[in-house]
Amino acid sequence: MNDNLEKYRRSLESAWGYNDYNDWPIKFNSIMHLFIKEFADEFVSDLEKCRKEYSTFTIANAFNNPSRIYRIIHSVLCGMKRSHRNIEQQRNIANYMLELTACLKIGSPFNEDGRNLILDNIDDLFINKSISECEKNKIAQICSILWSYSESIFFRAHDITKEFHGLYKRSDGKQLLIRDYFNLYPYQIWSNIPLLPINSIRIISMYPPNLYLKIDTYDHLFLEQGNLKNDMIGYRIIIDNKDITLESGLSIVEKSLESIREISKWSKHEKYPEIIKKYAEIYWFRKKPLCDLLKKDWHVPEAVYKKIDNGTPDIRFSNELSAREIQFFINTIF
Amino acid sequence: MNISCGIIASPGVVKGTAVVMTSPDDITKMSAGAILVLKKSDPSYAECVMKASALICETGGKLTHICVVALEMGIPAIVQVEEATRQVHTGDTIYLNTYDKKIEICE
Repeated sequence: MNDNLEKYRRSLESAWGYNDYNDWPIKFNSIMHLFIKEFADEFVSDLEKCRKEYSTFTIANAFNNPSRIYRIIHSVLCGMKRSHRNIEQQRNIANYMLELTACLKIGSPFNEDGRNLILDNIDDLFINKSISECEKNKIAQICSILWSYSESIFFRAHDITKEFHGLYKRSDGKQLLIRDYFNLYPYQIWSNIPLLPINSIRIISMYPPNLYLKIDTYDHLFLEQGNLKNDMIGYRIIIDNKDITLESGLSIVEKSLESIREISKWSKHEKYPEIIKKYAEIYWFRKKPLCDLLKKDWHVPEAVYKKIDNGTPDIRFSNELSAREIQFFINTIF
Repeated sequence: MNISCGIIASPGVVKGTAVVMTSPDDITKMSAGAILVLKKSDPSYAECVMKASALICETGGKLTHICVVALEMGIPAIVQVEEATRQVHTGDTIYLNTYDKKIEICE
């Protein structure tokens, strides 16, 4: 196994080791057997076709943000295992997906320095430097609600919608954290739910040199020193490529809350097959960039819906993983 | 009375009044500045965390999304606090100090 694959495997330790035990709206491990094999078969086939027609850079760009590629690797590997693809095939796909991820980053695909290609001239970036306590609170509210909105509309596949990067150090020692949100209006998934009527948001917050924050390749935030709200010394909010005022940004909070409440209500009242079908739709949406390149329909095949209708969640995988189980599963990769 | 501390997800020190929630239907019970005590989380609790001064949750991990919301709001959060919703009652005064790993129900 090469270094990159070993690093990839180790990165799962961080993701699973701080297991978020998230079972909303349903524990993913208990339902993945109902569509992950079909998903991976299609993903691998589409990726191979794209490789014949397009450059690595073009394919990477179609995914827009690196974590959208990185976070899907494990799901593809799980499906390939279920399809009895051999270890070499699994390694080849993982290697290529890491290569795609690297295309969208300045450095390594493992976020060793936190930066993306998205930003390289940070000293020239305009930042509002006057910020009151009240404004800090409002910005924190917008950032908080967008996390929850992302989770609500894409469940665990929130890599479709967000990429956090930084901290970028300016020449004056101050640091920038960039929170990018994309695909905020997925009407293809939620046609009956009121959604934010915007596609992308970038929130830039500036911090003094003594705030220590690390962002791993799964977009997890590890705050080692400081306070994300209280230590903020500047900000900028950009919606659909236009700068907006904090006051107009606040409308996001109310609108996001409305969507979150509606989806929460939906998840409480829907039966399992419908929730699982929604999960499948989100997964197929994850690979939509490949379908777009190939000019083919991205939707979930009818056979998958039937399989979900005829299947049930596997309760053996409804519980939290122990440290020993986490290590076991990591060791079974490749 | 001290409660055994779980995993620190966001640092800080706070003293405040607890609001215990065992279901998302309890969301309306939240008051500004309260310490939110949850059994488990889902995205619908985010609006409560945005009003809270701290978060205590029986389940979850350091990366649970509700903890990221707490981190963004700059408030302390502790997860994996065993039987928190049984030991703490709405109205209790709680002292929480993540640096000393201390959760105390004040008399």
